[in-house]
Order: sequence, then structure tokens, then C-alpha cells
Amino acid sequence: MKPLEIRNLTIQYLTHRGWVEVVSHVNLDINEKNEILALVGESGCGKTTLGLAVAGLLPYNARVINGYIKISGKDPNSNSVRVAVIFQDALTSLNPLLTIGEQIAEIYIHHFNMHKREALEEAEKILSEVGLPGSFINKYPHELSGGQRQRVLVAIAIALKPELIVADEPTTALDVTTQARVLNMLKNIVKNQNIPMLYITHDLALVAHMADKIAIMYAGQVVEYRDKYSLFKQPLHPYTRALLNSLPRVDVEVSELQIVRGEPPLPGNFPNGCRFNPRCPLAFSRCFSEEPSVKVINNGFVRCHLYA
Amino acid sequence: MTRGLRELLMIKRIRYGISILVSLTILSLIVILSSPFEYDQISYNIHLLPFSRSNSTWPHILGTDSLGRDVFTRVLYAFILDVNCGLAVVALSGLIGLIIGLISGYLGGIIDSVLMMIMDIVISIPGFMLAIAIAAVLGSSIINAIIAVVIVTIPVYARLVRGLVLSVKENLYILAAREAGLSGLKIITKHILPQVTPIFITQATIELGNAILYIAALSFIGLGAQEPTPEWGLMISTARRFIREAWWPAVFPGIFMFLTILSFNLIGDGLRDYLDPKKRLSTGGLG
Amino acid sequence: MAKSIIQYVFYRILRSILSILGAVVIVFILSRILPGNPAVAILGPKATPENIERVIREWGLDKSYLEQFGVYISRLLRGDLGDSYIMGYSVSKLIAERIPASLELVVFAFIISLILGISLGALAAKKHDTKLDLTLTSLSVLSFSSPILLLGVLLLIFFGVNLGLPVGGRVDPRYSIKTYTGFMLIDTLLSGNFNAFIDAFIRIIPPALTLAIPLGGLLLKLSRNSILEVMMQDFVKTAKMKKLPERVVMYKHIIRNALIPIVTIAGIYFAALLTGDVIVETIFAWPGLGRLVWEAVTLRDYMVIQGTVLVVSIIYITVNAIVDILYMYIDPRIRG
Repeated sequence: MKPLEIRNLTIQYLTHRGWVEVVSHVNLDINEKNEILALVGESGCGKTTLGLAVAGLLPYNARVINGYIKISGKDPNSNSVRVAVIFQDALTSLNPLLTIGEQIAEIYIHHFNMHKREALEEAEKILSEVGLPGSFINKYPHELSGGQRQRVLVAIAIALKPELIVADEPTTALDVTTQARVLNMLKNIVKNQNIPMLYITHDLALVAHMADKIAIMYAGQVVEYRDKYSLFKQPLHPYTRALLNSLPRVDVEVSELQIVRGEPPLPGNFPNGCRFNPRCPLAFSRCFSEEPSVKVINNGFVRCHLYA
Repeated sequence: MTRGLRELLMIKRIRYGISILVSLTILSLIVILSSPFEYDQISYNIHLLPFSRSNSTWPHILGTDSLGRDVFTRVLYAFILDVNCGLAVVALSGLIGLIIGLISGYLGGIIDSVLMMIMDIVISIPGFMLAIAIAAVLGSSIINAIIAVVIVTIPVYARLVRGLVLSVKENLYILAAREAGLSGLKIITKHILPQVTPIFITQATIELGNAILYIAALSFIGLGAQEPTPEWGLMISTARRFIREAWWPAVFPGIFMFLTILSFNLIGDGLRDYLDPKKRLSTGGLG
Repeated sequence: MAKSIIQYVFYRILRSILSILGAVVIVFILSRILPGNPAVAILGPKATPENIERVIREWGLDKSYLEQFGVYISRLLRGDLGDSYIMGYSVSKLIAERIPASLELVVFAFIISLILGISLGALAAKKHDTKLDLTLTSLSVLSFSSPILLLGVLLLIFFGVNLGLPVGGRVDPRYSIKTYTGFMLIDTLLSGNFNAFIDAFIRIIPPALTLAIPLGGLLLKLSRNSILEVMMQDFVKTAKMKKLPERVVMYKHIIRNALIPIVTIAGIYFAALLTGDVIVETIFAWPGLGRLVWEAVTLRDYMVIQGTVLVVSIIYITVNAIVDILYMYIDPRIRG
């Protein structure tokens, strides 16, 4: 059974203009237990919504109207599946009134039938695994630094013994050194403890270090899905190419950083045909009238008329 | 400005509040101009009559009180009186509080400390208690009641305004204006006041209801309006003795008072939600 | 960290003492700006020349204001609020006699409003944007806007006339209940007089409801909004992700955080309870401090009015200080 299987997933959000589609017909898989799938895209492309759906945490004003998600064959909303999420803002992701220890221990108390004292001891152990002193179990979230809080979130994720970890921009708010530490920690957990990870980010450079497989998302759709090396060596979709071109490089002289012209469309305002056509330098007539379908290529797929 | 007004009127609560107020005002004007009864027209032989059993040429719609006076007439005279008292309280305390808050917030330093210390001392006594103490000392009249309530509510506005001024003062554009050499008064009126005014008005609307409550309460215990003035609190107090025989002279003043205060609360509530940047919270209920 | 708690408590108590001092100053100033001779005002109908002489000597009314203030403060520190010549007792005695009745009523009402307000608010939050939510929120706006003058009268009529139940006073005067605690509900039980207990219970309900309904309405709206706001926070997602049982998520995570602004506002509105108490006690002839104020106003008894205002202020300031200090235990972020 695959760790993660998403088929034809469509999600809508309730806005003051009614229900609008934010994720459209997404197909994604994670095939191995030690695999990191990166989900890359600009803000508003639906990647966070997709992440929440995979974790079974969609808010009340969102609904899945098509398709399914299966985590090791089970529905993410069921109580027999645990999906850990590492959020971007660690301060607001921790209960300000409870100690760190209590927030880790409650996992052991409710899932592993431990007593409070045992659970707190386990919490100390987990904290040392992420490089934090055991005495932190008595501290409150506001007493820790940003990097320390993020590591607490990682500790909570590990303690849960989940089937899958969803990391949503886990390091955006951190300085570069702490960022590297946390990312390495996450990668180790995946590889050593065999827990697959869905790594959501807008930063293609970080993905090069972390991911095994990469899915590029635009306007609610997955437009390219490849393994890391193929994607970086030979990006297919014009959007992917634009993203890569906008990265600063040391080996090539460029007079100006290329930026992708325009803004991504907001949900409810998608153009006809291919959703990228307003910004695509290679768009032709078919792109404006017909939505491109998925074209499977070796170990991946791309959604673009250029390859149909 | 009219666009703002139109937007405001789209909020259900504000519409309900304004419609209640307008209806009551129209009713009062009708009564004052054309009621067959005077508000102090005493007639012992028709005292304590409910509306169904009146035998004069015009019906007593809400009955008569213990002195034979028409309840309906008195209740609506009281509407005008109480609302005007409320407006007087809000206008006076609001104005004084606004000035104190502006001075205190803008100038800071010793002036701020002294003014706020005075405000803190006034607030240390619960409002109604202080109002009772002041009104008792000044003497029982409606004017003194108004003065008492004004003194008690000034700190509310002063602190509110001062807080707003302090937060606006930090804004860069104020610093820029000062660098550009604008005089203090100009900065206050052109930059600070526009930020302060909306929240101030919202608070004032809500305080209107409170002011009416205070005046009625003071009159109820004997410190405000005196007979034969038609004032809601006083009417309820007089009617209390006969409540087992006749409930209407005690209940109707309260009902009209409730409607009036409710409408001010609705408007103030609607204003507050209108100004709240986090409007996404669904508020349910009336709008 | 312990040091900062002690520091905080120390400064908070200091502030309270300063507030009390401020209240004393104001009451003193008010007592001296009475029109005419203060001694005459104090004595009322008993203003004979000898009595006037005596009062002047007692309070130093012929001396400078500063000296008068000194006399006032020194008597205050001894717990002496002066004597009411009009009612015939020392003011302190009058107040001490009446406090338990008011305390019983206010605490009873406060508890009712807390239970009703917070539980219904949580219900409205859970079922938000449904018809039930709409109904509850509208009810809360209506209750909060209900003036005590209307509510009290309506409840008096409903319980007393429509239901024919005994209203007014704390218990039927035919029963003689020994005063163990000063709280009628407890004393009747301690006396073993169950009928009296029922009677006392019936009599406390209408005035307590009158006080509880407006505050409960406010707490309903507040809890609903606070809980909804907390529910949208990220740490609730974290709690849900841990797949903890629903009750744990609700109580340990959501409500505990939602309570913080509720406690603040509830503390502030305690003052409103005191205000309403005067009216309620007058309407229901409840023999507490509130009714004492009304009696004193009717009799123009300035000593009692001032004494009561001062005592109520001290209670108010103390309660606020306790709430602030309790706050520190609830929210660890304040401890620094």
C-alpha cells in the first residue's frame, strides 16, 4: 500500500462569492516510506490547502468535492491514521498556556496509554533527539526562540509516530543556520525512521537539497511531477523553467534576474484554457481555449500542450 | 461621506436601531403636539386604570397611574426627556473627555501623568456609587443628576481617546508631519482626530444607553428627577407601591426605556463591527 | 521567575492601596462640599445646638481641611465610619449587618451568569452560523440591553403575581433563623429548617436572575466570539492533528485559551453587578447594602451614603486586584 495516494482531488473554499475551486483534479503519489515529495508553488496556488487536506485538517469552510486521499490505504480523517504537520509559524502552533512537556506528553498519554510521569520522561527523550535540553519540558512556548520552537514542532511530529509528515514552509521564518539544522533533522527522520514526508515550500533552492520527487503546483493544479534530477536537468513545463530561471546562479553570468511576469490568478478567476496562459512565454492558440491534459512521461508527468 | 452612510445603513443592526429610534421620536412628537392629556394631569377618580377600562372621551392606551395620569403620554414625554438628558451627558462628558484625552496623549510627560492620575482616582470608585455620592451632595434634581453622571463618565472617554492618540502618535506619518513643521494643533486636527473619531463615536453611542440607564437609576432611588417630572426611573419608583394592583405604570416605562437603550446598543454594536478590521468573524443574530 | 511574580503582586497591591486612598480623598472632598453646615446635614432632624457642637468637635469641623482629613483618616483606620444620627447606629455596624445579604445575592447571581453565559456561548460557538446560533446571539443582545429597572419589575410581577410565589426579603419573617454564616441559604439548612430553606431559595431566585440575565447575555456573546477566534488559531490545528479526543481538544486547548478575555471582561463587569445591586435590592426589598443606599437617600443620611460608597469602592478595588493577580496564574505569558 502506498504511503500516500491522491487521485483526482478537487477542493473548494467558501468565500463571500460562494464556493470557489482552489485545488483541481490533483493526482500525486508517494511510493516509498523514506521518500520526500516536495510540493512547490507561489502563494495562493493551493499547496497549503492540499497539505491540510492530506492531514485531515481542512477547516469547516472547505470541502472536497471530488477524488480521494489515501494514507497507507486509509482516509486521513479517520482516527486510525496519524498525519503529523509541521506548520510555518511555530509560535502560534503551540498552545501558549501549556508547557512544552505537557504538549508532547499528551500524545503519549492518549495514544500510547502512558501515565503522566512516563509520558514526561518520554518527552524529555524526544527533546534530546531534536537537540533540545530535557529541562525544556517545563518551559512555555513564549520562552523559547523561533528555532527552538520549530524543533519542538518536529519533536511533536516524531512523537506522534505518524504514517506521514506534512511540512508546510517549516523554515521560512528562521535564519539560514537554523534553517539548515531543521532541514537536516527532517531529512534524517525520513531516511532513518522510514516516515514519508510531503514538503511544501515556495523555495525551489531548498527543494534541491531535500526532495526525492518534486511536484510543481500552479493555480490549483499540478503542472509537472518528476524526480529531482530530471526536473532540474530538463524542466519541461514553462512555469518550471521560469521558476528555475529566477534562481540566482553562480556559474552563469546574467545581467538581470529573470522574474515571471504577472501574478498567479486567484481562485474563482482562472482563465479559460491553460491557467498559465497569461504569463506563459510559449503560449499558442490551443492554450487559450483548451485545458491541457496530463501527459505521462518516464517517471512523471507534465500538464502542457507543448507535449500533448 | 454618503457612501459611508449608505454602507452603514446596510448593516441590519443599524437599520433596526435607527428605525426604533425614529418611530419612538415620531410617536413622542405626536403625543406632545396632540395628546388630549397633560403629563401632570392629576385625577384621582380614574387612578390605576388599565387600558381596557377607561371612561373618559379619549382612551388611556396604556392605562393610568396612581395619580390618574395617562401612562402613554407620560412615557413618551419621558422618552424626550431621558434621551435629551442622555445626549447632554454624552455631549458634555464626551467633549471634556476628548479634550483631556487629546491633551494627555499628545503632550505626554507631567501633564499626562497628572491628568491620568486624576482619571484613575475617579475610576477607583464604581461609577454608580460615585454618581450617587455626587448627586446626594449636590441635591436632588435632574440637572445635578446629569452633572454627576458627566463627572463619572469623563474618564471613559479620556482614556479611550488617550489610548488612540498614543497609538496613532507612533505612526510614521505623524513624525513626518512634525518634521515638516506642522503645528501641534494642526497635527491633532488633521491627522489624529480622523483616526480617533470613528471609535469615539461608536463608544459615545453605546454610552448614550448607559447614560440613560444612570439617569433613570438615580431618579429611581430618589436622586434625580422629582415629581411631577415624567422620567422613566421616577415613574417606576412611584408605581412600585401599587404593583400588585396595577402593573402597567411600572412596566411600560421600563419597556420604552428598554427599546430606546436597545436601539442605541444595536447602532453602537453595528458601528463597532463596521469599523473592525477583522470583519470575517460571523456575528450571527441581528445583522 | 518567582521573583517577578512577587514583584508583580507587590506592585499590584500597592496600586490598590493608592486607589483606595484616592477613593477616600474623593469621599472626603464630597463630604465637605455639602451646602451649608456639614454638621446640620449630618444630624438631619436631630440638629439641636448641643448635637451640632458635638459633631463639630468629633470631626474637627472648625479646624483646617487638612486637620479634618487627618481626623477622618484616623477614624477610618480604626474602622470607624462615623455614626448615623438619623438611623441611630454607627455606620460601620449598619454596613457590617447588611454585607452578607448583598454578598449572597451578588455571588449567587454571578455564578448563575457564568454558568449560563459560558456554556450557552460554547454551544453557540460549536453550532455557529446555524439557526440555534442566531437565536442565542439575538437573545444575548436582548438580555444585555435589558435595563434592570424593567427586568426586575417584570420578574417581580411574574414570580410574585403570576406564579403567586413569595417575593421580597430573604425569608418569611415568621421563621426565626439563627445567624451562623449570615448566608440565608446556608443558615436555614444549618438550622434544620427545610421549609425555610425552600422559602429562602424561592425568594433569592428573582433578584438573582435580574442581576444574572444581563451579565449572562454579555458573557454568552463574549464566550461565543472568543471561542470562535481561538478555534481558528494554529495551535488548535496542532491539537487536532494529534488526533486527541474531542473533549480534550475542546477543554484543554480551546476553552482554556478562550477564557482569558472572558475573565478580563467578567472582572470589569463586576462593577455593573454592584450598580444593578442597588436597584435590585430596592425592587425586591432585599436587606443588603444596596437597599441601605436607597434608605439613606430617602432619609438624606449623608453619613451612611458616604460610608457605603467608600466600603463598596474598597470591595470593588480589592476584587479587581484579586482578578488581576489570578490572571497571572492563568496566563503564563504575563509572568514574563
